[in-house]
Amino acid sequence: MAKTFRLKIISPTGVFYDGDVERIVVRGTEGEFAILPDHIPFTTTLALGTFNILFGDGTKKYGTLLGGIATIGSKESIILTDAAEWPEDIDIERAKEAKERALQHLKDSKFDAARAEIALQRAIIRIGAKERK
Amino acid sequence: MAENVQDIKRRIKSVNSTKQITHAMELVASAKLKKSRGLAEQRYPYFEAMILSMGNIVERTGKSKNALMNQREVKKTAYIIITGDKGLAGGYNGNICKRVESHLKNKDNTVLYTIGSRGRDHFKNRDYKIQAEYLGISENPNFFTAKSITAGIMDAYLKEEFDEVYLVYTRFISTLVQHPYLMKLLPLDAEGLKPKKKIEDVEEKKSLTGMIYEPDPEALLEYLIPNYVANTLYGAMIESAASEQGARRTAMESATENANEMIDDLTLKLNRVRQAAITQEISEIVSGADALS
Repeated sequence: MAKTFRLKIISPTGVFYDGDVERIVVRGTEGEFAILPDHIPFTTTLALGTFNILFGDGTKKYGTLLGGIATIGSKESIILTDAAEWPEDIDIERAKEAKERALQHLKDSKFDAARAEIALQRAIIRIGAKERK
Repeated sequence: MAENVQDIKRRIKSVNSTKQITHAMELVASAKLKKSRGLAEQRYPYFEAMILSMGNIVERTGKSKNALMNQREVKKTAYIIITGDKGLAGGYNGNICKRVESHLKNKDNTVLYTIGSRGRDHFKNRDYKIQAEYLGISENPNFFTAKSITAGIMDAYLKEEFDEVYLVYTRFISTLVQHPYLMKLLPLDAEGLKPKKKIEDVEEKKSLTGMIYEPDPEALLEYLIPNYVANTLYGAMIESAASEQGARRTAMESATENANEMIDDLTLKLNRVRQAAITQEISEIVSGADALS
């Protein structure tokens, strides 16, 4: 079996994932990067995007990771995120509605454009993750 | 005879139905309390990990330039006050209002953010300036609500609408004990964030001193601090929700107890009155029979 490291993904509403993985690819604000075992100590901010985990037994799993911060330490790597989801937990109808709403808010100057932009990005990532099969 | 049997019976019935209500409320509060405690447990890992990485960054960078950490002269103060939307929870809402009033120095230099209608009503009646009110969220704390509330507050703080922010909520100590608690939310106390525990493990120490921050520590703090503030409020909301249910449970438990006592007293009285009536009837019959013989 391949060498693994301990990964924790924690969101404000609870521990999303806690276990050993061989590799995880996440989207940082500086670009996509992979974390492998024995990575140098490193802390960075994450963008809105998807993540991809390769487990020790060769199976893969992906999900969404909506912003956050990754701390890679000697013993374990911790990802603190605003929200994380597996594709099966994504409510596609809600995401589509959110997308429509965000698009409308963007056109209307009454609403905060920056917030609508983020909401739109979230919705697009969620829909993308759900439809990728 | 001061009261007749019928009156006492009616009172017993009415006390009994009140008892059923208070008892039901007690059970509901227990169930909700359990839910709130579950939320608190789920929040804990994130908060712990966040405090730890913030502490490490602050320790590395020393004094941060982040505006939310810098002290400035205090001209105006804001309070975030967390109370419930409903009463019948013993001293829960009153204690919070009292705590705020004892700390508050100048009514004119104060703005309030109230969560829960009880606190809002209390301060509105006393002509305080209420900047924003949030209703219907006390019972079901939600991280995203907390985040949007704190986003507004941090904006106002950065625009220097006020120079410090206090958070007033009820600490949940146990099911029976809850204390009103006041903490300073902004500006953040950088010293207080530094890790208290010295790291002994050599490997871990090396990984901390060699830690690479990307893009740079300030940018990380910029992400972490708003989240820290939001999460602190979220935690306070959860604890307040738990405290409210705890206080309500205790209040309803003693109400049920009192109702039981009252029913016992009334039943005793009822029996006495009935007995007195019977005794009187017998003595009337006996004296009637005596008169006939």
